[in-house]
Amino acid sequence: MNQDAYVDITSHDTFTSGFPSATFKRLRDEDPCAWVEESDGGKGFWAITRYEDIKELNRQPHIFSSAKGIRLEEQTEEEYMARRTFQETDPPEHTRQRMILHRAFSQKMIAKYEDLVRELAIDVCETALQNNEIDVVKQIARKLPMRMLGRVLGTPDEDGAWLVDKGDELIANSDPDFTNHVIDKVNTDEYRFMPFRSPAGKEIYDYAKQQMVQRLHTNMDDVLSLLLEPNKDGERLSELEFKNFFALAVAAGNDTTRYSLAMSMYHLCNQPQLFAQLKDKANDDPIWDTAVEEFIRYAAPTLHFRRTALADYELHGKTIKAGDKVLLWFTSGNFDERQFESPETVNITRSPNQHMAFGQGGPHACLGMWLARLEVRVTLQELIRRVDAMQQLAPEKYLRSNFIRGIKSLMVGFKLAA
Amino acid sequence: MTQVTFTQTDGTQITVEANNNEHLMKLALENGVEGITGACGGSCMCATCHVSVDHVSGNLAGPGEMEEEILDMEIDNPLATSRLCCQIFVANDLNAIKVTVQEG
Repeated sequence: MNQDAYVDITSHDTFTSGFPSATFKRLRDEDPCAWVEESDGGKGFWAITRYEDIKELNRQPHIFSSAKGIRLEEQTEEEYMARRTFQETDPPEHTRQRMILHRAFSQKMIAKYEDLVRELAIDVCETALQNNEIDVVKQIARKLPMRMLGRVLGTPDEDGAWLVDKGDELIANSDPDFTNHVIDKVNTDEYRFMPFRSPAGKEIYDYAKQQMVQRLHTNMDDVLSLLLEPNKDGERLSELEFKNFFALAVAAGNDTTRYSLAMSMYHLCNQPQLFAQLKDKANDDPIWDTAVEEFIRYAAPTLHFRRTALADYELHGKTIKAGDKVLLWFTSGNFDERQFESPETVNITRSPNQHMAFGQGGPHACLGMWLARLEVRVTLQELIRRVDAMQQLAPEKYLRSNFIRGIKSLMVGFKLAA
Repeated sequence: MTQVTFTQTDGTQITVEANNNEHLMKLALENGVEGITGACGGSCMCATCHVSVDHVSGNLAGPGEMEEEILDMEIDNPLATSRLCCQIFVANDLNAIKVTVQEG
């Protein structure tokens, strides 16, 4: 973690040396509702960094709206309307779409996928462990989530690798390892009506349209078909809603679970006692539930979501004015000493663990949280079963992004289980 | 103050005094009630705070449409008294409430 207490938290480059924990600790302690200027000329924002404040603002969508955008980027009304997903709406409009989608991602529905996730995790781990020195992010963490999401949604397996690449181009639009159109380096005006202002958005739209047309003619008994069915009031997703949901699923379903897995494996390499605590534990041992929550708390891949104030609001002696951008720094909340004892310590028996990596407590709590938990648990179970020890071989590399936090490369040497 | 009693899955009870506007999921977590995890943080997006309401003294607002939908999606056979306790708020006119933790 970066120990400089005064880094620029708006700069994508800042996050290439890890989470700037000292800066966020200073903000939580000294200025928990801080006005931050944007180095790229944006109009500035309020940085909310304490757990309780984030939770309080997050549960008030009528004051802190998602309907003006959820990332730092300023959007015109036209761009917003073209690209918005249900993430960029407020209740009650949000609730309508969310409940249509929730049918496919409920805890009960996702639990039925455990055998399938395990089958994929076994395949991914066994293939990766044919070499005992590998980049575990590329060979394991990046492989599983999109293959699984593809199975859930109903897209063909052979399209998985292409969808991962496109998902990365979208959400990692600030990292030159993942896109040729780095958002703060080249002019992306041409793509302003596309998801993430990325040319990959157009390709994803076309792909989504094709998937939609197939299912309008034939019910393929998959989630995309389910999503195209009318709800109990006879309402359906429009074509644009469907395409934007698909782009969101490919982007969000792809990377956040990857970075949770990557961070979990980083800890297992560097803290052998954690590996020992989990080795030889049965799949249904309760330690897996607490371990997965703790790994996800620490990984907290989505650094922030933005809201826009709809009314003036007083917080810590400051006045957030109507129209101001407000960033809820969920990762910072997960490291708040006021909420978590020794937050920098990975304690895989931590309980209760009311972390906010999934944006819990607000209407936009992560739709895919049950799938993410299942994938992290099953993948770690299948990996640990196959190895006796794992060791980091080279310094890890972090994603260049002020929005998504993650290890994009982690070289690991394995001692395989006898 | 409102008296809130949780009956845990092993039959033991935890009773707490609660302030207005607090919801029962928060109270359950703060007081270590077994079986309530509140995985969505009180967003009415999961059923890990599922309870049945056994007794009410005073007034208790019924479940909203979204809560009913989530119960229907997440619980195989919801009871007539099933509620998500993140949606049960303590209020002036609620004197006491007893709930039993159910599988979520």
